[in-house]
Amino acid sequence: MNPIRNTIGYVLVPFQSGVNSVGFGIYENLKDRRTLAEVEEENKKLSEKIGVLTEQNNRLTLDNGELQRLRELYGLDQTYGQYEKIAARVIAKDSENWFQVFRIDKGSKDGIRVDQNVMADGGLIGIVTDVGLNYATVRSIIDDESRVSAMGIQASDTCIVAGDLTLYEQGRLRITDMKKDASIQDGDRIVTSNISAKFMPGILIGYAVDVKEDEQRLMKDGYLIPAADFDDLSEVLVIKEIKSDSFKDENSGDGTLEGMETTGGNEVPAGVAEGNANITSTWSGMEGLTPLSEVVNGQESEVVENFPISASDIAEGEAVEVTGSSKEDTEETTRESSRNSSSENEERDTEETTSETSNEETERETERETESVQEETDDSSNRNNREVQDDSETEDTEELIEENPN
Amino acid sequence: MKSIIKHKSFNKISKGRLRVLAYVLSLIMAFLIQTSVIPLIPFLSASPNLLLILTFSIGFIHGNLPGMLYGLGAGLLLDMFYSGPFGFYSLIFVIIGYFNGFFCNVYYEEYITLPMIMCVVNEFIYHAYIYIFRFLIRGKYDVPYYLVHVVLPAVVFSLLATLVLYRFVFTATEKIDR
Repeated sequence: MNPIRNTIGYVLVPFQSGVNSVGFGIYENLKDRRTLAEVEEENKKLSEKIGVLTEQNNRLTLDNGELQRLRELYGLDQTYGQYEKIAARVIAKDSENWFQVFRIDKGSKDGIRVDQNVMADGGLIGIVTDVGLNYATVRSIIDDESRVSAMGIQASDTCIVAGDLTLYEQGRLRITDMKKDASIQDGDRIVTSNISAKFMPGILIGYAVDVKEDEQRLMKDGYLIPAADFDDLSEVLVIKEIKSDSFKDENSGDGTLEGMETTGGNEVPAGVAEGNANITSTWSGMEGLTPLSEVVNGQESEVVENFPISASDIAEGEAVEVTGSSKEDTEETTRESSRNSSSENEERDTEETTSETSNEETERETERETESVQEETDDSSNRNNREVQDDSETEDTEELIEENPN
Repeated sequence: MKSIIKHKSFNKISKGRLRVLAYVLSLIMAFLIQTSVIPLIPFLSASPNLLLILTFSIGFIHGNLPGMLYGLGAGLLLDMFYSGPFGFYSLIFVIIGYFNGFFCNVYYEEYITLPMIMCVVNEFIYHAYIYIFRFLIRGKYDVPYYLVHVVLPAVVFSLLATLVLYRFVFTATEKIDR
């Protein structure tokens, strides 16, 4: 079959191609002779299509730009991966040149809080100063009132990065309060300090330039070129964590501070009371250790038993010596009253006609014992007073001796 | 609307309400434009303070009390926007609205020079207020720099905006009155 097919092909193909070319020519001719109306209609359609495509292209270019920006943001996000962030859009700016504050479209319902740090373009932008339900106000670091505690990334010499309105047009910030022997040089990366109270540590602020000693030759001054571009801010990243959280984590311990944080200022004493309760509970929990109060009481009681001079008497000092006789009088009266009470007890016993004489005897014995003990204590108190006096006298003499060793 | 206008007793009240509504709307529009639209225009080195212009225009046309009330509204909006001490802007706007109300008796309908002069004076008072209480007390003494780079551009743009806005407020009041 193949030879036949080949032959037929050999004969027919030139005709085919000829016919094809003729037909194509005719078709082209016919196409050229289309009516003007047809062409105009097609032109209209095409221009419509061009319009649609241009619009689509524009949108795609815009999307691409945004994609680029968001990718950069994402890259930034990767660089500072240790902090969790919320992306937000800048919706309003201060129209006056006095202040550099702007507003973002995320608020407290998105988890924005005051003092959260704001970043963009690989650097620190500012700090949240005010939060509403669905917006937050951010003060840029280039604002005249802004001051950021910062440090060099090479050697952690601390300094202050302050915004300055007079430097705003040059796109610079001021670096102040740098120690004279600080090793920060031109071109050094300046990051937020780890001793800052409001800024998370390690966020790039910018690069130091023109670092030199100040006029008094006591500190170093310089300028900072910010890493972020403040001219066309459209998207920013807000760091969820705030610096004071870390303070709380270190101090709270059992989490009572968090309760204090959520409750108002009025209920802080309640929290403190809880803290006290916790302390006492921990004391009771520690077995084998007596609480401080009990220890003090025990000592006092021992002192009273061994020495009749109580702590208050010692505090009174001289009064002890002066009122010694009167004190004895009062002690005698107390003794008499105790005797009376004991006799009353005896009478009651007799009234009850209990034949337990052994008990009565023991009671009398105890009474005598207590009396003797009281007498002994009186004696001992006098003795102690004398001893104290003696001690003071001896001390005086010793001092005299020391002063006059010869 | 027509039925309301037919009753002359309702006419005054509805006019008043309409005026209040128009001013509240203008206040919000000016605030939105000032904070969200103008900063997006890149070639403006400073932006006109629309709220200030509206405040003194209304004080100028309607007198002390309306000027004060409008100033209070504008100041409160700005206070809510910024996170400085609350009432900082309210105070100056109320004062400006009140004192421009004294010129209520002096103004002529087609006389634009006085509003222009008042605009410059008010802008200077406003910026001096901000400078003294937010910058001078922090020991920033570079007055010439601030004057050239902050105050002057703001004054110029505000003057341009006054030409448009004062006319707008004026025609709006006329239309409402008619």
